[in-house]
Amino acid sequence: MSAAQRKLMKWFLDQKISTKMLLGFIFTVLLPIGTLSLIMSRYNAYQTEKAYAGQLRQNAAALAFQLESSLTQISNYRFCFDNTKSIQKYLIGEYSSTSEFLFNYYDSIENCFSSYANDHRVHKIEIIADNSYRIYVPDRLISTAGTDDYDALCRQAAASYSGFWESGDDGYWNYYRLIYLSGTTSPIGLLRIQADAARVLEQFTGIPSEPLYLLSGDDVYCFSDGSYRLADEPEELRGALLDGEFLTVPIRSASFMLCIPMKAWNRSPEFVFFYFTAALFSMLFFSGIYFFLNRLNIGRIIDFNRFISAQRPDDLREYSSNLYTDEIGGVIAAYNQLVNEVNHLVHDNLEASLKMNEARYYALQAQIKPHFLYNILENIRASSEIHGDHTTAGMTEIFANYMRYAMNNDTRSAPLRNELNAARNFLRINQIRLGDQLQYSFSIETELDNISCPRFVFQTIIENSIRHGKISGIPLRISIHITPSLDNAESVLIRVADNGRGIDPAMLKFAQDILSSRRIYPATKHVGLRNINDRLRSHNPDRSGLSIHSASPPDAQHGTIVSFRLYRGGEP
Amino acid sequence: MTILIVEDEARIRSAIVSYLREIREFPCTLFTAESGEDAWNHYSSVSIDLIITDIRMQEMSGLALLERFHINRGRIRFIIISGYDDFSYAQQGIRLGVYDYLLKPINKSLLLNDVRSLHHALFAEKESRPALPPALIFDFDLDDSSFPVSLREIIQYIRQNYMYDISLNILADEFMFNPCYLSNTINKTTGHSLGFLLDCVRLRAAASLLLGSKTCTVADVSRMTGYSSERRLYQAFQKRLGTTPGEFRKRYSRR
Repeated sequence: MSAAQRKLMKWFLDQKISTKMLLGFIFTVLLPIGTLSLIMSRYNAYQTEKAYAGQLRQNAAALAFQLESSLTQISNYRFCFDNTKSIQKYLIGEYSSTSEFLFNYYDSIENCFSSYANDHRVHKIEIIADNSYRIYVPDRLISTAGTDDYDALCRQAAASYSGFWESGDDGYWNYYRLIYLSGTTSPIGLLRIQADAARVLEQFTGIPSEPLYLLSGDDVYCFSDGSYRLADEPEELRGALLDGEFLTVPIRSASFMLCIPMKAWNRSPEFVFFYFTAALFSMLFFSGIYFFLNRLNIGRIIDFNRFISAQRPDDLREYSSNLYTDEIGGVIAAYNQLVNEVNHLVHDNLEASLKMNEARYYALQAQIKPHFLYNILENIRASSEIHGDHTTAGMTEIFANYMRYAMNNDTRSAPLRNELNAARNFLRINQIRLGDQLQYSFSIETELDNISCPRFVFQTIIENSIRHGKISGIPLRISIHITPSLDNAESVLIRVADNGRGIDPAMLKFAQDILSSRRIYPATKHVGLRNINDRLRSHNPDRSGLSIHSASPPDAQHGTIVSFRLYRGGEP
Repeated sequence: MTILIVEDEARIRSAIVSYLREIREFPCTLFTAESGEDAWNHYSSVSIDLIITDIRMQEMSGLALLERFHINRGRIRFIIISGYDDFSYAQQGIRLGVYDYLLKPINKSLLLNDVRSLHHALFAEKESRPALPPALIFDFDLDDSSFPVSLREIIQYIRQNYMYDISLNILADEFMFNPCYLSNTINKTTGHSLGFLLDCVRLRAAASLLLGSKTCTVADVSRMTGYSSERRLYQAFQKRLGTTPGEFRKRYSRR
């Protein structure tokens, strides 16, 4: 494979799938089919034209045959005159007087002339004698003044025994034939049958609507719209004839040439337009089907790819869509399984590290002997009580209560009520230190039974608030609100708010990032909040943890709000 | 009622004694012992109703003491006070007929409540209990199991502390509830106000004091049932029973 080919191949493979499909469609479907259909249409047109020409030629031959037989029919009237004694007597000059001729005429000659009377194609029949007289039909009396070129005509007629046809300028075809005395070969007169060309032609079937041309000698005649006359531009027509634009058929019994315009096959622009539109539409239709089918498959891959690209590494989710049983479905199913396992591993890891943290904590705790501690505290309390020092007694009681909760070896979460009592004890202990500088309030607006809470969640939040939020000289107010969640009846919202100095935006952003991430950070900074966040996440069925909102001075509404959610019916 | 207090720490022991001295409704005889051994040696022959003992002491453990007293002196009741909240102790204690298991630091009202109800259970038969007149506050079921947990806890609290000043704000503060929410919950679930619940508990106590003890004056009763003055007790009687404490005593103690 040459370098150019390889380069081309690489370029093709680098394209998006939809581009590849489009290219494939153009090169394997659109171009071949387009070319093929173009060739087919050309060949089809060629064949049609050929058939059309053949048809035309056949029509012309039929027309010529019709014309020929028609002329023969007309020329056959000559037989009436060939052997009629009366006519011969007249022609050789046996009738001396006009009255004798007329007597014989009405007696026998009239029959001959009346033979064509019903044939409207025939204009008139004349016999021209040597003596320049003419016999004519009286009721069709036509002026015969002037002489035709009798001798020339006789010479021409002598050449052909059966006579000849010629076209006259007046729209008539003339048939000439010599009349012989029976038994001799010397002509005694000339028969002329004048046929109305228009009448002859118009009876034919299959005459095209275009003008029909007739070539007789050097003259060109034209038949159109039922009239027969000399053509208007004979020179041009003759030139066209020579160029083969006409189909010429010779009429054998006459010196005519029948010319039919060789019109090209009528390929109208409407037809071409229709052809192309139909081709285009069928192409578009099938392309549409092709692309639709491809889209079904490719679309799934593209969607899946988009889904994968949008995944965050710390929050992998399964691709939830209909998986079909083909290869694409197989790939997606494999991916889902992978994600599932990764999530399980991450979760197990999280749990394990939490467990380890707790274990470390409780190991420390176990070093203090509880009984010893409580007895000491109880002693102090009893002593103060006896001496009337109720403040000290109260403090000691609070401290002992708090220590009882804090030193509990139970690693499970506690009922929320107990956790709240511990939080209140913790606040009271801090009040011992801070006095009026710390104020607190609780406001519970829901039932607390059946809700459990990881231990020390409140204590950690309160501790943070006192340590980081306290502004010296201003009493720190901590309020704890518990309200039923509006969107989920099975959960409660817990909000711990203070009026402290708040958290500056950059720090807040950092804290929120840590809290919203599922990753476990090395335990160096912000251990407390992160620890309770992780424990809340492993405690809550929806894996929700803490959220922090804060505004720092100079904002008038400064302070920090830490909120989280707990679910009913958790572990006891 | 005879009570023996066994506790090896002298200060705690005297603190318990001082708590128990606050009981005024019935006479209490208090004995103390430093250890289980001491208790057994000195008081095994004395008629004792209740032993309040620490569970972990130098010579004889509280449980061993319980066992000994339990085997030899069947009817004695026990209250254990312990630094441990270990379940196995509680379990053994229950098997030996322990009435309650209290944790250090000692909650005074819990302790006193236990002693009072024990006294009530032990001497109920002895004092011919007078019939109470039919009235809503006597018939109202305070232990309705359909009440939410929070309300049951609150009623329990009222029963233990009715002799002190109790108001909606104090209750809300104690249970950390929003006062409006608490008031709404009480009204909705019981159909009565907090004042009714308080009167319910206090008037029942007042009635049994008035009818049970001839020496108690109305002023004593009002003090011991948490009414700030005699006038308040009169008002509550008028409101809930339509009578005065004196008339009430006269009419019902005759029967």
